Amino acid sequence: MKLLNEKILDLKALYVKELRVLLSAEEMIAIKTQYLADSAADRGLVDTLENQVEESEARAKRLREILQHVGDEVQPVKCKVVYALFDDAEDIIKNAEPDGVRDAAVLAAAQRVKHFEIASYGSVREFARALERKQEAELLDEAVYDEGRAELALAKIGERINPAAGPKNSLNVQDGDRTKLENR
Amino acid sequence: MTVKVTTVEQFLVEELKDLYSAETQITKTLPKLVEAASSVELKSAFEHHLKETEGHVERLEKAFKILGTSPRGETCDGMKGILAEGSEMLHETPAGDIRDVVLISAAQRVEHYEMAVYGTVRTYAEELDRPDIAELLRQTLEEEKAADKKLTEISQKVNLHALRAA
Repeated sequence: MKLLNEKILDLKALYVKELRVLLSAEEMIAIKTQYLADSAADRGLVDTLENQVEESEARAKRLREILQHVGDEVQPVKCKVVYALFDDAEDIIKNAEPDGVRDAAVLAAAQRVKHFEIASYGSVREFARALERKQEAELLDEAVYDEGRAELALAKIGERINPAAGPKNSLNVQDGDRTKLENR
Repeated sequence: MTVKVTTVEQFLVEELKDLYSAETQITKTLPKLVEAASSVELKSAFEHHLKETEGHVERLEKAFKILGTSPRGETCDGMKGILAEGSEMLHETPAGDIRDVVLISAAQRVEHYEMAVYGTVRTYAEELDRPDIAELLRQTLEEEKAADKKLTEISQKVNLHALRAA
């Protein structure tokens, strides 16, 4: 898209651009996290993801407010990364069964998204700090913290629901492993 | 992908293929980042990470050998998206501090993607009672975390420069 090849010449322009991309990402994440929740079977995983939908919506709202406060362009710029992440995720989730394996795929997708957001909010927070936009830096710092907390919650679920953990779930494991589990 | 994934071991293999594709894409991109960077410290961090990434590819090849399967057949669209978006931003910025900031922020997204995936696959390898594979993945995970930390350190120096230059 050569026509839109606006030059980013300083940190503030970069900050605004990244915020606009992040806004598009967060709006898409809110929609797609609901899809992840709908695809999951484990109650705890479903609840956690549904909470995260609400958190994403709240963060999208906050990003809009920050962009309005900065006062340059406020329209979202399509975040290709999040589209690609969910393309990959849907590909594997729709082919994964039984429930335990699908939950593992849902969890892996959700964790990728959280890490993407930790990195993205981390960057814009640093930009806000360098630009001495203190109030915005604080809000973005909260977002980094919340995303980290969300990632940890998912990681904990991963340890709990891992369908390969223990002989009772050995049906999900291939033959060689089943023998190994039974011989313990 | 059209194959059904019905076991955790199969899922582990799919995730390892995703990583293999991601790491291969990264080895091809890092030399371009070295070229694009202005800061000597950033250049050398990318050079160092290129060597590490080649090691990550080798570790994955070992894991595939242990599992008796081939690493090929998957394209990691997630990494493709991260690199495409990074490259687009890169072309919108002039060389110098501001471009370095863009490079760091793109590279940190790459590191976090990898941290997420190595983190989950290591857990699955452990649960599947594959300590040999889990150990290979753990080593890479540690290097990815260290690379991310190093980038944060460099960004704290570069960011302020970019501000002053503006």
